[in-house]
Amino acid sequence: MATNRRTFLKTLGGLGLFTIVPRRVLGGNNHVAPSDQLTKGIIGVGGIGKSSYHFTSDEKCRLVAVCDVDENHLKQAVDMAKSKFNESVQTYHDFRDLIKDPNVDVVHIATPPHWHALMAIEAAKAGKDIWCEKPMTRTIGEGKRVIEAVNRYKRIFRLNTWFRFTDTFYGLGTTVQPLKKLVDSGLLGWPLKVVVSGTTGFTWKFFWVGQENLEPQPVPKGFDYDMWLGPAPFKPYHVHRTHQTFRGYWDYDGGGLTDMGQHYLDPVQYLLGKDKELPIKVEVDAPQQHPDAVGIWHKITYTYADGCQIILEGEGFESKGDTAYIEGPKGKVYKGFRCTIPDIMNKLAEYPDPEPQRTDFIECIHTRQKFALNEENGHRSCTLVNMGAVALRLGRQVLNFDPVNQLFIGDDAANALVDQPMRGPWKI
Amino acid sequence: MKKYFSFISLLICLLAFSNPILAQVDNRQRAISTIVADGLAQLPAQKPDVYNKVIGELAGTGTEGIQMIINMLTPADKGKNATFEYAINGIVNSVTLKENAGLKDAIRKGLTEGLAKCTDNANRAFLLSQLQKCATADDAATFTKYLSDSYLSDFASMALMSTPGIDNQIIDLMKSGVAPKNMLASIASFRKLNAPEIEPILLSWVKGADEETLPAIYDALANCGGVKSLNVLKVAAQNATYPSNAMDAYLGLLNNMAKVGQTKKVLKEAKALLKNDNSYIQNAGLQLLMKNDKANILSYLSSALASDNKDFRNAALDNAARFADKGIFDLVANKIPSLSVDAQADVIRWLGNNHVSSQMDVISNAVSSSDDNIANAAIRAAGVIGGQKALNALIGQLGGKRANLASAALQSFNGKINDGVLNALNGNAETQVEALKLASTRRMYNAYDKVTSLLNASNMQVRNAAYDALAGVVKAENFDTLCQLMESATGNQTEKVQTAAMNAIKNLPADQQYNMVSKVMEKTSKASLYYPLLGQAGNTDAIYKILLAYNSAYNKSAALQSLLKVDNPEMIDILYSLAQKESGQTKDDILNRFFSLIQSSNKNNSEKYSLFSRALALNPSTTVQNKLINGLASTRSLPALMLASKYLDNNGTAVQAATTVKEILSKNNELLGGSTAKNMLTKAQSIFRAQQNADAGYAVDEITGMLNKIPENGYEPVAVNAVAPGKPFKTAKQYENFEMYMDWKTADDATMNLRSMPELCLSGTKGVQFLHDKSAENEVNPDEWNTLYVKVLNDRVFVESNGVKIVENAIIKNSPESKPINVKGFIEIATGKKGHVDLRNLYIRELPTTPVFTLSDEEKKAGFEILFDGRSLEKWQGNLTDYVPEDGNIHVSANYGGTGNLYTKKKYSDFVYRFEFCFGVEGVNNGIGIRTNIGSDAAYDGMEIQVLDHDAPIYKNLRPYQQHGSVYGIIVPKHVDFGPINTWHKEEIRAVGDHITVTVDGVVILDGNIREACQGHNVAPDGSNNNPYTVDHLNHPGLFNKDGYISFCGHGAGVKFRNVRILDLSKKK
Repeated sequence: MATNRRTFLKTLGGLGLFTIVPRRVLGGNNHVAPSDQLTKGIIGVGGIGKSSYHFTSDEKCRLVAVCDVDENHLKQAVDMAKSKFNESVQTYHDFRDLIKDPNVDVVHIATPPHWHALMAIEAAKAGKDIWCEKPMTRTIGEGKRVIEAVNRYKRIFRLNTWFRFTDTFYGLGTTVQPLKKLVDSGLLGWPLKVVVSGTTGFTWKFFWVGQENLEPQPVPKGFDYDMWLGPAPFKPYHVHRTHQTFRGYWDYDGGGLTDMGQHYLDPVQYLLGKDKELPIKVEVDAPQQHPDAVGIWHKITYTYADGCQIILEGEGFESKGDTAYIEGPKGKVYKGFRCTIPDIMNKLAEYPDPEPQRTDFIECIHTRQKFALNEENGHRSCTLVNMGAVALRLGRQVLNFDPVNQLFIGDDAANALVDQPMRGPWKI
Repeated sequence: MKKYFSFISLLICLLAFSNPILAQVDNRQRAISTIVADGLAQLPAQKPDVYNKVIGELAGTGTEGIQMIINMLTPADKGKNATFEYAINGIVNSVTLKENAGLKDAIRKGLTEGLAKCTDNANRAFLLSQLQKCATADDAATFTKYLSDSYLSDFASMALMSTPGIDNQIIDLMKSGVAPKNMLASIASFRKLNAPEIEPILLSWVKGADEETLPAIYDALANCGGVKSLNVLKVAAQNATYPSNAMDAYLGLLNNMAKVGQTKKVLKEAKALLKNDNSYIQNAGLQLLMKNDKANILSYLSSALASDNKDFRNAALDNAARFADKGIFDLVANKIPSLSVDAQADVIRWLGNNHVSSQMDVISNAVSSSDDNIANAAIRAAGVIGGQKALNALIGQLGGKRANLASAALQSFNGKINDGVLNALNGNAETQVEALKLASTRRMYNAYDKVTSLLNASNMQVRNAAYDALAGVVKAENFDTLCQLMESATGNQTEKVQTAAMNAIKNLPADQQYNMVSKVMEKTSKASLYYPLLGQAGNTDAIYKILLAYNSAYNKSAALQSLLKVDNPEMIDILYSLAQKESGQTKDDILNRFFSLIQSSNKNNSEKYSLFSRALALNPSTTVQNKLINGLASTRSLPALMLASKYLDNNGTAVQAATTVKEILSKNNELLGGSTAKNMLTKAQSIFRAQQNADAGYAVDEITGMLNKIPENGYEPVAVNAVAPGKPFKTAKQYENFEMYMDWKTADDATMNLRSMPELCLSGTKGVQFLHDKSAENEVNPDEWNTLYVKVLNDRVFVESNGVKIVENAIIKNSPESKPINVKGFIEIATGKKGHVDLRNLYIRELPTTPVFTLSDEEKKAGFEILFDGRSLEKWQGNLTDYVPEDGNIHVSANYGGTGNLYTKKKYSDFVYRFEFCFGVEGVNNGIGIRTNIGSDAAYDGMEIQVLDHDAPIYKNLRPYQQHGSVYGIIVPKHVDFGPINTWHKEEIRAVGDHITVTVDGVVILDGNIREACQGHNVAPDGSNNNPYTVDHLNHPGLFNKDGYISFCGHGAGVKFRNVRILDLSKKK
């Protein structure tokens, strides 16, 4: 019964309830019955895990545990939990202990990407539901394994990027819903070309590049660098490798492309109706990449079997003009929903809205329904990101891809990056 | 220059046939060390084509080349490795390509040997992971060796996981047991080895294995084992200290066993798992059962649905959708009545998720269930599945308590809803209201008649909903009817019908809209109702018609409101003239619209500035003034800055003006300088200081920072006068280098002198023209003020007219052009016998005087001639675009897209050539061509005296005859130690006949005879391309040129020259 906290509360009823959460029993109209109240633990409370969007605690889901390999992060998180939510959270150094904690229902993974798959699988094995930050996994092979584990134990998995269902989509200055409706209507024709670019704030390539020629530094006190590295190959410590700036190194992430790319690509996969598909080709235009430090790039083009294309136009601040758009044989739509089809809003109004998505994670956990962005479609959009990373790392200007087997065609070196060995005892 | 970057076109042709004796060189006769140095100098490659070429060449250097690069690696705290890492990584990546397979063995060999010799751990790890990428079965022994290396063992283990074709070697390793068992188990597991001998070895390791090794063995058993491993893993899953790993291995093994057909055993184990305490493990057991025992899938599902565990029920449903055939949906749907309420909702969600259309009867019934969970699930399912029954069921809910959910489901309904909604318009009042909303949002034009009939409904809610809905169901053909309706409507209904009438025609072409509206207007007594429709049409006729109404004083304000809605850039000028006539709030409204039309227009910053400035001159309310001053900030120009600063003294505009001043000066460093800007900033700061809020506090700090770094020199106002015949404008002082802005207006033509030389024509018709190149077109309006920008720097001029570039980096010329240019002079504007020019807002920023080189007395006496004194390239020809005088030096710029080298105008044979040079970045490569010809390669046509930062790490393999100061390829110099980057060095090249002497910083580094150096054989006597007499073994056909030009060869940025002078010895003879 190790992890069935809620079942326990349900079966034993009120007796245990008073001792655990007496305040809620006296609560008003909106109070959540303790057996329906979830608990969560956050792994990684340095950057995103400590942000106000993620470091939350409420009636529906209480924050009860945090884990970090940096003592400073842990201490700050404990203080924040106390001051913000009046919660005394359990602290862990080893994520496996947090996952084992029977008081934790939901494991929230907010570490650098090289840990995501390992932790997600470990959480699934322990029967936990999972909230995982983007990018879903660092390799395509890891993504396949996460799907397998989540499905084996039938856990609810949320990949956390939200542009397919809320907020203005970075590339086109509008939410994805009307664009999805436009695409579904067929008014633009088929196949479509989707270009996302810098004129609309797509500036990720300028951030999170790595540094070359790092001189080794002493590991700071209170920081478990070996555990931070985990499955990544050992490299001498340098502060730039770790907190926040880890994004600039291929061992842990892949710069703006992998760190931010899923934000941009996932909504496009969704609006093209390609949640169950993958491209057959990736083309990359970039300066040469360093083997360790991620550099900038100019353009990445994904092509699907039906001729649809997604183009990440990475010219950033340099690009001018209308370079973010969706174009089909019958029309083109630009930032802010400017469309070459006359009277588009009236025409579009005649069509149904896109199928509703399940976007309440807590509700999904209670009803055991897949979240709108889950391990399966999340893996697909993350695969786009990782296809680009493989091409960049190998200096390949073109790579052909088999979407069914999820392997590159005729390139063993590229496939070696699909399934990468992990260091030491770590494995998935 | 050419020696390192081999842009040799001519030579490539000459040397196209490679010489078999010289196996170590490529088809450009480069030795491996040269190819490596050439390649490294270009890394990291910025462009794919360069990358492919350079990496291809480097990979072609094979074992020797890659070892050379590996040898350059140093410990990370002792030197910089990035360039070498780029090279090695690129080479290895390239040989993993199928088409380069032939190069792979040589590179592997180089890596293996380099790794053995390397002593720095981080570099060894780097090399090992590179070898891993291109490894073959032959490398297994290397990796195995490093398994026992304390630093490299993890890297070796990872390499053994991913190297192809070494399964047997791994098995041998496992048998011999020389390496740590956890490592071997992990390797076997990663490779999913399934040879029969693996399982017993792994099983034999279980007993006595420690806590760290056990998980690795379990994992390996799951991936490599079979039925013999079952009990071990099962027991471990029940007992292990961290059970989930063992359990997962156990489940993994069961899955693998099922794949190879051992279903019976698997099912037995899986059934036992259903009794596990944890529902997620029950889920895993259930998945095994449903996946592998499809005959009984319904029975598994049925019993799961009877469970009170929601997790388990939904797991079963998910499995059924994955593993059962389609019939399962009908079978399950039939069971719904027997299920718990909670399970019924699960099943209905499941039917919806899977778009099961065959069970719509069940779902439709559930839509009206008394249980909220069931009903809500059914409404959602009906919407996503679609079909007539679903439509009817949802329409049926529009009048009830779930109307909102049903309406939302209809809005995203999978299919057409029009017929259903039309029927609903005949329903009860509540249904009608919801149906009207849907009819409108979904633009159901065929509901038009029904909607208009409901405008007279007895129920007030229905009536109001019908008026609201009207705009969504109208087409152009309804226009006349709508106009009648509009004229007879009352209260706020009039506006709703008006909106509908506008919608009806809004997508027609502007002219057609106008024709329709004006036709109706002929007969109406309520003309003002139609102004918004004219405004929407917005063509010139419509604008005119509204303007007539506006001018008639009758319905003036209604007309104006419509004018303010017109979306047509023509309105910018019209609104300006309206604003001139109006006052108060009306003027404000007009200027607000004027402002937003400008902001959304494609006018450039200079044009925007000019329009904003005209609007400000109309003195609108402070609110509008502030808006316009805010707009000035976005233009970021000097005129905008100066204009905004005039509003600092007015209480109402002070804060906005201060903000604009701060914005412009912080975003445009060029403008930050001088007492005028400083006074502005000081004033702005005191305005912010008085604000006492947080944002103002930041602004105060920001300005403090700006004031701390503000340069003394900046734009300052200069008085001007109107220009008339015989009454020119002339500055009070002379200027050398400067930038200026000035507003001007004329209907005539005027000449503008810069440094007292005629350079520009200001014309009321043709705009601004550069007199030495009149190609730029820039028409101007003779009645409007124009803004001119000019920059004069050394011998270059830059001109913009109203924000449009006229010339850039153009060479200033005197008149006549043969006359040397003036070093300084007046800015003057003059007209001919008739003509008048108005001037205002002249601001000049003086740029630093260019330091001038003068000859020493001794050099003067000797007869030296200055070739570059810092200010102009008058004595030079060729690439005057990229070679630019700056700060008294010759700078090489890549900004203007020129090509080629820079040459003296005169030819020289015997001479003493003196200059100073400075390397601005590491690895700079240039050269001094002598006795050469225009367009040819000085190293082979004439001589090239090398200029090279030869101690940069990328030149580690430099040949002595390539060093700085060499007569390239002919005579080797003494090595010069340049010291730090950015140091100036003095050089003298003395060429007398065949005798060349090079002196750097007073030390003679080369003193030799070119004829003796090659024993008179500047070309190979046998006519071949291999010349044993020259030190670079190349032919130098032009080595003995008698005379020629002196040149700078190459234009990578980063090198500077100054104080260039020459003593022509041939003259003296």
